[in-house]
Amino acid sequence: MNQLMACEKQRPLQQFRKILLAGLLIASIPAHAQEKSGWIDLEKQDSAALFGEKCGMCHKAGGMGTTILSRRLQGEQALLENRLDLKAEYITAVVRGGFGVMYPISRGEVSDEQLVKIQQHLVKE
Amino acid sequence: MQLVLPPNHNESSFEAALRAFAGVVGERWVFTSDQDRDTYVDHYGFDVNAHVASAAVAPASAEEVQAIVKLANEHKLPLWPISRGKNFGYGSAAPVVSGSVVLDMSRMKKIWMDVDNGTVLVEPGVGFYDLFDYVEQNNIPYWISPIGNSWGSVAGNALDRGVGYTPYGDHSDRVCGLEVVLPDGDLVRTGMGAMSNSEAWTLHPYGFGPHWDQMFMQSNFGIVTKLGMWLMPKPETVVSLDMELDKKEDLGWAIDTLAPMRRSGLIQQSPSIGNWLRAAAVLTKRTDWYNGEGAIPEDVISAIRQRFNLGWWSINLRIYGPEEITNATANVVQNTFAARTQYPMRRGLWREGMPREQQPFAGIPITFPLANAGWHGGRGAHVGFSPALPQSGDKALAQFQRTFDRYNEFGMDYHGSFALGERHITNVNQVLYDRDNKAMVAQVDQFFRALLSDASVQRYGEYRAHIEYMDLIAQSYDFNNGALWRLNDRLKTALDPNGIVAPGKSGIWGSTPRRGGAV
Repeated sequence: MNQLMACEKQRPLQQFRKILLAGLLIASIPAHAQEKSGWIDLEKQDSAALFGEKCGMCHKAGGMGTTILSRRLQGEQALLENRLDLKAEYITAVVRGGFGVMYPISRGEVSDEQLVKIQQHLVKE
Repeated sequence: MQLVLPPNHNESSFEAALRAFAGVVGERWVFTSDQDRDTYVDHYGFDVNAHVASAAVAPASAEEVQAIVKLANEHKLPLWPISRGKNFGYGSAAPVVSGSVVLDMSRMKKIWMDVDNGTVLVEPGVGFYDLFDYVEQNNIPYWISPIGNSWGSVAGNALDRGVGYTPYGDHSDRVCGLEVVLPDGDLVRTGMGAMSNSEAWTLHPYGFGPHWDQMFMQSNFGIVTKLGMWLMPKPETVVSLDMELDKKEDLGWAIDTLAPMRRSGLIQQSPSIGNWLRAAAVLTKRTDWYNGEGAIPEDVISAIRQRFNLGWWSINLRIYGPEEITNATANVVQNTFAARTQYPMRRGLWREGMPREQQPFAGIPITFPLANAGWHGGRGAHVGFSPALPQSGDKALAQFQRTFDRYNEFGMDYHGSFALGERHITNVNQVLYDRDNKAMVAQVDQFFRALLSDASVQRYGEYRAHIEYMDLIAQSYDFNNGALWRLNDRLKTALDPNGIVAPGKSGIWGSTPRRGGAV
C-alpha cells in the first residue's frame, strides 16, 4: 500500500477531478509529466482550518504571537480566537502591514480571498 | 516600498515582463504594489533598502515555474525563488540583488507520501506545520523533524541545510531525490527520479551516475519544485537527559564528554548546549531586568538564572528507541557524565500514550522561541552567525570567549548555542536587536563583521549565511585562490548564462556583475 492513507478523506469533488485528470493523462502527455498518483494539496478551504494553517503556528496556544501578546494582554485574550473586539479592517492592517514583531504577510502566502475567510473566523459581531 | 527596477530594465520593459508572467499565472498572482513589496523585504534586516524585490510572482505548479523561467530568460529578468520565505536571520524572502522578482512558491503545497517506507515528496510551500498536521491527522506512524522556529518550509530548510533535533535532524542528509527546474526552463529529477515512474525515487538516493542533490543546496543552479525526504519511524520511547552547567568554563569539558558518545553513535541526535538567554528572551523582556547601557552585567545574569533555574549553560539531549535500549543508553550517558561532574542530570521517560514534550525533540513544531525577537522591544529582529568548529572542548571554549568578548564590546547580550554533529560543532549565535533603535542597528553590521573576521582567522567558516554577507563568507573559503568559488561561477555561467536564478546566492554570480563590484 504505497499510496496515501488520506485518499479516503478527500472530498468527492477532488476525487472526481482526480478521475477526470487520470483520464486526461492517459490521452497523451510528455514523459516528464507522468506523475505518481496520490498527491494531496495541503491548502485548507474553510475559514477555521485556514486560520489554523496560516495563523495557527503563531496565534494558537503556545505560539510565538500568543507568547508575546500574553505579556501585555490578560489571560485568554492573548489567543486571537477568543477575542471579541477584532474588526476586519484591523486584521487586514496588521496582516498586510505588520505590527511590532509580527511581519507583514504576503498575498502569495495568504491571498486576499483567504484573508476574508480568516476575518470571518475571527470577527465575532 | 517604492519600485526598484531590475538591473538593465526600464519601466516599460519591466511591465512587459510582468505581463508575460501574468499570462502564465494569471494577473492576480503577480504582485506589484508598494505594500506587496513590503511583504518581501528582509523583515529582520537592519537595512531593508539594501535588498528589495521589484515584484513577486506566485506559480501553482512546476509547469508554471518552467514557463516563468523561460520568460525570465527572454526578458533578462533575475528571479529570486523562495519556498515560504521564512529564512529569518538569513534574509527572509529578500533577494541579494535589488530589483529581482521574487518567485514565491508558497502556493505549491502538495505532498505525496509512501507510508510503508516513511518517505515524502513535498512541494516548496509545504511547511513543518502542514507536514505535522498531515502526519498526525492521518495517524501515520512517523515523526517529522521540526526546527526551532517551525513556520518555514520543509524543502526550503533542507535545501539551506537547516537542522532539527531528532536523529533525523541533519535535514539535507535525509533528502532523497529532487525535481528541479533548471535555469533554461528544463526539468530534471535526480536519483531514481531520473527513471520515469520509478517507485524508488524517495528510497534510493543515488540512481546511476553523479549524485546531484547537494548541487542544488545553498546554490542557484536550479529551482527545486519537489523534494523527497525520509521521516523517522515513531520511537517506542524517548529518554530526556538535561543538565544545568554553572560556569561558562563548563562548556569545554561538557563538549569533550559528549563528543565521543556522538561519534560512536550512542547519541544519535545533535545535543545542544545553549546559554541562559534562550529562556529569558522568550519569557521576558530585557527591560524587566535591566535598563542600563551595554551588555547585561553578570549580577543581572545571575538573577535571571535564579528565576528560571538555569545554568550559565544548559545541555539538552534525547535518546530514542525501544525502552530496553533507551534505558541502557541513558545509563551509559549518565555514568559518563557522573565521572566528570557533580551536576545533577534530570532524566525523563516518554512512552507511547503519554503526552509528548512540546518541543522539536518530540517531533512537535514550535514558534515560541522566536518570541525572543521581542527582547529589546520595538520591531525586534535577529541576525544569525553560525560557524562550524572542530569538535574540541578547548576550541569551542576559546571560540565562545572570543565571541562573548565581542558581544560585550558592542554592548549586546550573548545568545549562543553549540550543537554537536557527528564530527563537528555548529556554533549558532543569534544577535538580537531592535530595528527601531538606530544606534543599535548602526553597529550590528560592524559587530557581525567582527565576528566573521575573528572566525576566519581561526579558519572557521559559516555553515549558512545572511544574504548581505554571502560574498564575504564565500571569500573566506579561499583555498587555491578561491578555486571552489571559481568552480561555482563556471557552473553558473554554463547553466544560467542570462543570470536568471538567484544571482548572488551563496556568493555565486556567474555572468552577472557582482553586487557592489566586489572582487
